[in-house]
Amino acid sequence: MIAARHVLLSPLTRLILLSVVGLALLLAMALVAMQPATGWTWSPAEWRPVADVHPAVWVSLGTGLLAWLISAWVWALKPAAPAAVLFAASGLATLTFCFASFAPRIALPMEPGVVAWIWRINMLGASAFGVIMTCLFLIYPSRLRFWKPLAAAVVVVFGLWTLLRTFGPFQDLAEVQRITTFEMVAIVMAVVWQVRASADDPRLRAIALWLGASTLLGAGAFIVTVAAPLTFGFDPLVLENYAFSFFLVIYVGLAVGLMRYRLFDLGAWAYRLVFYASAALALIVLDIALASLLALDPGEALGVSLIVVAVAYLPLRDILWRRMVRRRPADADGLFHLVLDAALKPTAQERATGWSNLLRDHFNPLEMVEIPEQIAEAEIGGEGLVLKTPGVAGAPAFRLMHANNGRSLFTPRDAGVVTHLVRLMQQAEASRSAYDRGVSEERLRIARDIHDNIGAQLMRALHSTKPDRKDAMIRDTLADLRDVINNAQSPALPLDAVLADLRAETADRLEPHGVSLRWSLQADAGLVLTPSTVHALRSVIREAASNTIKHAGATRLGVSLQITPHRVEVVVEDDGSGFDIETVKLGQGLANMKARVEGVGGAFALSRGETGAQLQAHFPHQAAAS
Amino acid sequence: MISILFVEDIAETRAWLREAVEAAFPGPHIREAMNVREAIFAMKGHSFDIAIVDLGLPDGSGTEVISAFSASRPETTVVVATVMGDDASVVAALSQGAQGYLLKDSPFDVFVRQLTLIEQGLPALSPSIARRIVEHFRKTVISQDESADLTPRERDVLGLIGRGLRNADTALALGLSESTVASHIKSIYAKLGISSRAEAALQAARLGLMKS
Repeated sequence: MIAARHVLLSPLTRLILLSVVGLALLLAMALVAMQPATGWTWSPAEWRPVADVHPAVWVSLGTGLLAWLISAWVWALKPAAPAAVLFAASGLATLTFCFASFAPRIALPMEPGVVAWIWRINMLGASAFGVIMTCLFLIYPSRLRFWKPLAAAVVVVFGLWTLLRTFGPFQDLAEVQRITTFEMVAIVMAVVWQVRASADDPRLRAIALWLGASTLLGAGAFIVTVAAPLTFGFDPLVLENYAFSFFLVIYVGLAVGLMRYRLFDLGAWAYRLVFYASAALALIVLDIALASLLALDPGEALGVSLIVVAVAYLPLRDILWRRMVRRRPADADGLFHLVLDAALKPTAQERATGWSNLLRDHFNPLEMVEIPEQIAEAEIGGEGLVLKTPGVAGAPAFRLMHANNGRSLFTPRDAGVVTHLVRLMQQAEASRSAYDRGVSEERLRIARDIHDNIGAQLMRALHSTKPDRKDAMIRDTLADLRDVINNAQSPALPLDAVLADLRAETADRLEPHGVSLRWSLQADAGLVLTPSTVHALRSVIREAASNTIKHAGATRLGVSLQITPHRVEVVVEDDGSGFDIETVKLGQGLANMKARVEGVGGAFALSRGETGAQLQAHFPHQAAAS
Repeated sequence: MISILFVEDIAETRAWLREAVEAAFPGPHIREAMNVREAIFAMKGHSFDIAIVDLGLPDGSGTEVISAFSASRPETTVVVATVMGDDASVVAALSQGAQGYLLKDSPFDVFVRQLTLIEQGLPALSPSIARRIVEHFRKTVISQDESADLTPRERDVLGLIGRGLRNADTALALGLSESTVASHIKSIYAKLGISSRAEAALQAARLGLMKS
């Protein structure tokens, strides 16, 4: 049941069915035209060669088929739109009067009654074309005032006139020329009215002009060359059947207008359907060709052919058809990547574009438009013709129409996929914004670090008057900057690493001055220091080393450190000359050090040790366990 | 007479380097280059004993200069001189063929001393770089090529230096001579290059860039 509705509702199926009907009619008529004068036969050998049949037959058949195909195409896409229905009907009328226009060119002997019926059909078709076109221009591109009574009047007047002249006592089949000429006048009036009525809407006006011009040119050329001369009793300027091809101007004009003006609200995407339909028809034609080849084979080759068909052709055909018609299987991984790609785009606009591309690529809808309303869940409408998707990631809600290039319907599974995609998208978005937040927090932390430490140190260096102090402070700053760069990912520094660097650096500095370093460390394993502890520790040891190098004349510097999770204790002593603790004034460097240690809540003391000077500092800190 | 090239784009630093080189070696022949292009040009025209290369140059990275030297002037001792260069890029430069590195923010006398050590073939290694190298080898274990892996002794040396011991202290702790420690360090630098190249080749093979 569902499958049946599926087939009927798919635009591609509709188009293919109608095309097949048109083609079958064409083949049937061609068969009739090729019959020999000797009577009906099924043997192709006795048929008239194609070249012997009057070209007018082929022109009529081609014109009728093309008009039919183009109008069927429009109707396949918009089966419910009145204008599209009228247009399709006009195509049917064109097919009818074209196919019923070459009775004298048929060699097959026909009874006069049959010929009369062919002419009746021709007359009905031609008149119907005029009536339908007039009605079309009463409602398209815009509905004219009084279109209902006018349409009724057109149908009744021309309909009665035609019927009176086709059947019964007043029959006059030649009257068709006069009828169509007057219908042409009606069409012109409707077109002119349309152009005037659409004066204030440029798009409608363009459509009216374009479609009107095509119609007037196509039908007008026919009237001028054939109908009008006949109406006034002259010979037609060209053979009637050739003049039918003027009608193609209308249909080709429509095809071009579709692209330029979205006629019948169809966009350029309508051409995609033509592509698929042609491919499908090509397959069908190939099938028919193969089947007839098989039938023609002499008995022996038949078996071989059957095997070839079974082994090679059928699987190949199946693959081709499946590739064309079936939808790609939804690849969960691929979709996940696409969603991530879209969600991680830097700007909201790119994310929205990514999302709409994702939908378009996955569902291949013929039509996809934004809709203003907000919907919470994906929903299917129009019995599977329409899928509405909720807005996400800054993208609006969309209405998708005609899944898979018009080849399938939206299913509840598709709605499920959309819901899943929306959820994925939202999660990815949330992760991304959490990540963004993390990045900006990190940036803030680094900025604060640079401001508090590097900035302050550079300021101190700038305002220091002693060149070597300046140098020392700038070096400190560079070391801090290296820390920031090397440990950008974490604010805390592992104790081992910090002290190892400090130890090597101090030894390097002391060495040229003949001072050896004795380093002792007692610390809980795996401690992680905060930057402020590191700065304080570093400046104490650096300053002490500088002091020893500068003043003490020492040969040995001892550094001993005791670090617990809450307290840092540093004792630095040298074997130099020391100083008189009563008289010495704290130098700039020592004063800074004292300030720094006291700034973090610690204590700083300078004393004369057993052999030289001794510096003691301790301060509290918060160490995180790594 | 020792001949030295330094590649440095900051004029003040070039002057400071010149002063340090003159303090370290009597009557050196000094050539200065301000960017990658000038450095390559100088390299083609002359064989230097030592090249001191800054990493961030106006027209490219110092690692290009280092690779060019390892390719066509293997006799030159190439040293990276850096201030803000992070550990990772120093290790990258070492794996490109640099045979040591200097910190340009060292005090003048420390810098001069490190220069003379390099000239004697005794490269220094800082704790943070040593740790970074250990990390590098842990990440790029290549079982096929044993020559690219560190010996236990080399691991000991890296471990002690990483804890803040200098060459002399490391030698003392391991019962080696200081020159043996220095040769271990040079060997570590060389293996850094081998392992990086092998790793790159392995990556390329994994990505299907190479046939074999």
